[in-house]
Amino acid sequence: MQKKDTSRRYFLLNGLLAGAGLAAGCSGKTAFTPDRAEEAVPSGEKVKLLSIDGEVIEVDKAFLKPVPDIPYPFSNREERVGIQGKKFVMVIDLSRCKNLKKCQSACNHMHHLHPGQNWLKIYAMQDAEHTAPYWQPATCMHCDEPPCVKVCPVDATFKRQDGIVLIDSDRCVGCRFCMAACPYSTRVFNWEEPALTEEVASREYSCETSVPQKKGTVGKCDFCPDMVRKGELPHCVTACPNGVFFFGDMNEDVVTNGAETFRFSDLIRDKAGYRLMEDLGTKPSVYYLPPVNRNFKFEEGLKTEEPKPTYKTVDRGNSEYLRCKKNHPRPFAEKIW
Amino acid sequence: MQLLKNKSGLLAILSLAFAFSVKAQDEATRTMLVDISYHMPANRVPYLKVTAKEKVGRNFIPLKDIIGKVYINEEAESSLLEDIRTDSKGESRIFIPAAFKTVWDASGSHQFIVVTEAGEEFESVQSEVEVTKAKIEIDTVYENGVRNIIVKVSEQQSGEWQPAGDVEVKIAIQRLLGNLPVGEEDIYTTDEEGTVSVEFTRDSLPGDEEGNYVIVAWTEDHEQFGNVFAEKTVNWGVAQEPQDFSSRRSLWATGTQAPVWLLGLAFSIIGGVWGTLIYLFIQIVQIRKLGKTAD
Amino acid sequence: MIWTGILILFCLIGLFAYYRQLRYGLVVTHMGDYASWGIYISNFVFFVAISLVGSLVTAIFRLGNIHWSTPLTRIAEIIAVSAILFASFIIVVDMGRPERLVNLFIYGRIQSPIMWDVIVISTYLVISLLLLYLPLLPDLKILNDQKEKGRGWWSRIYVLFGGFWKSNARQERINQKAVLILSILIIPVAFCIHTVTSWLFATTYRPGWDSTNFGAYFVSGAFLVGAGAVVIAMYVFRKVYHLERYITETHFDKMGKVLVLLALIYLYFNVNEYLVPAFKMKKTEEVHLVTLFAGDFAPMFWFSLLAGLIIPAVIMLFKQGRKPLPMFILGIMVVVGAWFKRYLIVTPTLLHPFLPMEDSPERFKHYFPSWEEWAIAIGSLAGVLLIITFFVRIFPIIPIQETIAEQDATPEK
Repeated sequence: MQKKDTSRRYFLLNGLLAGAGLAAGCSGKTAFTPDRAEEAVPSGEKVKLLSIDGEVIEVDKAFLKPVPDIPYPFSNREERVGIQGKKFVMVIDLSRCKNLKKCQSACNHMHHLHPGQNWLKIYAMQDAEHTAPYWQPATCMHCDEPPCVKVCPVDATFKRQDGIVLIDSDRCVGCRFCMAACPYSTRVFNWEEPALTEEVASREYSCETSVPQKKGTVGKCDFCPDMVRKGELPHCVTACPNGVFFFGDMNEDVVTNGAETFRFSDLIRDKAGYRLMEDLGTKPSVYYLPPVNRNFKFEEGLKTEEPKPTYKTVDRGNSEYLRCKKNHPRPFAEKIW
Repeated sequence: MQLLKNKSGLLAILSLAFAFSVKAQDEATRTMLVDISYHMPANRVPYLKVTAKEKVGRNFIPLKDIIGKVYINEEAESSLLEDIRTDSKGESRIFIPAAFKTVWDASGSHQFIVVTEAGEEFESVQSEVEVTKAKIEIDTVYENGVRNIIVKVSEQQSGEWQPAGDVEVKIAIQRLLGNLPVGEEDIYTTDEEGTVSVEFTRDSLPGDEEGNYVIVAWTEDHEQFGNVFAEKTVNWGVAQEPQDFSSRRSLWATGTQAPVWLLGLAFSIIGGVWGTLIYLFIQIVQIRKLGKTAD
Repeated sequence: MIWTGILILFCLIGLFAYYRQLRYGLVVTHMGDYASWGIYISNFVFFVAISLVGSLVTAIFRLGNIHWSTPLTRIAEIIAVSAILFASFIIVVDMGRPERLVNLFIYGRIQSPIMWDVIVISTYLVISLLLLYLPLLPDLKILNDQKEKGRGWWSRIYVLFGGFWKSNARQERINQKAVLILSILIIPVAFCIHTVTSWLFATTYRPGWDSTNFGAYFVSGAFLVGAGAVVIAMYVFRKVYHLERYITETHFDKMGKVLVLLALIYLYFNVNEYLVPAFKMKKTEEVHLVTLFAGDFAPMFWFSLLAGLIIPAVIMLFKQGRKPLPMFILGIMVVVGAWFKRYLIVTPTLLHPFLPMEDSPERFKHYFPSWEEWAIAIGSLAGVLLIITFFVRIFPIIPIQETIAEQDATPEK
């Protein structure tokens, strides 16, 4: 019983980690940690443990420790390549969004964003005068034909093989061409030195954590690849009490919001999912489920929102036209000629 | 003057109110919530997880560096399994040391007790969990073109493994970030035989490169068995070719992966223009030389 | 002297503003996440535009066998060189991380229009410098020969740059051939710089920028503003250096006609640029066009179109309008109108994104440049003028040799 061959040890190890993953609400090859853990150097210090059947099993102590979070163990090269065999996708269910903005505050908090900066924005949308208003959370679309990446002169923003578009703030020259190129207005700029605590500011920068943000560079939603590496969901997904956000791997055809898990293709087919501005050919990785069958009123969301969409009638000579004050998505205006 | 008086009066009231609120905050007792749970992954090595948290408003905040002791069956020095200290997630994980083999083997059911140390901020908290040793086994049957997953739950009673009936189990396909239920339902209940049979309908679900994926079955915080978990790899999926579009040349690829037509176009233009310019520089040098020789 | 002093003062204020920007970041500007480009970029476009005139006067006219423009070539060329130089400075000023400029050379991505711009602008600068330098060689000899007249230490510069010029037949032959090659080469490169600059906008999806007309629209506008700038310079140099013999009323008259032609071409592209989308009024274009035609930007829009284009063109149709003084005023109108036109190309589009401007600080929803931006923009304009001023102090602004040859060839003059 005392001697263990390597394969058995790994089996045990996988079992242990699998259990750990389960406890965290999901299970299995939690991200890519098993691979990494197997690379962990055995400490030589053995521990004897009991199995369910009373067997005595000897395990190296190094394998029992959880994988440390910090320092972030990936090189810039690895971060630029991305996670192999994955293609991340998000589904946002508009029929559930009440503009609670928990996603936004979680995102801002976890990425230590400068006050006023939002990577995740929630828009009050109304496509036309007589159509229904709805709340539309918008992250970075992580397009498959990313217009922002096309225009970057220095490879500071790049598309990884797992579909995630990231920014390397250590390389960005701050030309802001990507901001002009992005039709989803998702990118923000660090116009001044970001307000960070000393601890955060001193952390080693990583493209995957996007922390700390740097003055004179562009920032945006990163799909939290650091969380995914740990087998956890992005912050916005876990923060939303209404389960608006679903996240997953397109190659696995599954998305989850933590509580519910769906087959991605079924979900998109059954609920008629769509993507924003399909006509631009950007091929986003974020899908939306239409705001149908809502059991709440759009106006409820205004409680968290100070200004509400307002329309103003502007007198211009002898013709009058409706003009959107500022908040309106696609302001409609009567033709003045 | 009147104004000043008013102001100072207001200030006094404000400061008083502030002092009160500070005091009130001091007196408010903070309560720590400690929980111990039993986990049995892959029918092999069980472990216990202790979590410590505090309710602040409507949120739970994990408590770090909480020190405590975990005992088996009774709170006595001889039954001490291990000392614990919670990590940044407010968690601590312990295994059952081999030294407790006799105690462990003696019964099918055990009680685990966690007692935290009283500190400056919190009083000592005790929590316990009673578990019966249980196992989950997954089997698959393929007949008449129908795939069935058979999950069997057994418990240990007087040293024997007996079927456990009326146990709620979840059966799912393991995915990266969440488990996809195998069928329409989420939870299944075992019959008297301790088994559940589920017809598998998730056809053409992508597997790995060889079409494999993992079926998992588990009990979630079961009052008798805790968290028992089992998995089985099946070859029911659609094999996936590993795709790597990063090696494709495109306008949005990295600089080294620029499209060939663009590289050709750009460099032929640059070459043509700069070739001419270099020729002109040579001409200027020529003019210089002619000037020198003319002397 | 007062003139130079004022220019230096403006440059110093601009430098101080830039120091503040380097220290505190681009937050000193009033740009925001929506108007993420401001007057730095419009100023950049303006400089690139103005620099195009070098190719027009020196190359296109030369190849077209138009001889009257010979005395104007150096004016045009020095404007081109100094403007393109400051265009590249101002783009560095706009960068959030100017110290990482070197990344463009380490990690350069040929897919990016910015990279194309870097390449063509540096190429254009080199060609323009050569076109300025080569015709200057014979003049340097003339100046060298006049050394005894005592122009101080300038003569050293003349010797350094042109001491080897002996006016022998072979040298002249090589020089003429080189100038001819450059004149041909500069035309496509000039079209490239402004077309590529227009692509910085036209390669995006945004309303007002998403136009296939943009390259031609930019190039035609550039020729107009460049010609306007040349007219201003002609008038000033004529007055200050008493060059009435060389820059005659005929020159103003002819430049007037050229301006009318260029204005008409530019008007034609303007009509295409605004009327076609306005006819369709696509939802995304609509907000943009309405703000331009009748909204917040309307006064500036109509000013730039009327004062900077239509009115000057109409006045210059008349002979009296092509006299030096009216031409000078009209030239200023054209140039000022063109500057605001560049502002209108950059800013309103950015303030009309596809998705609403929400969840962003209030100050990002509007744009009006801060004093630092104005100071830097004005400082860069002063810098361009300063370079021109220094140049004319050192070198003859009229190509002596070429003009003499020209006047010899046309005895009736």
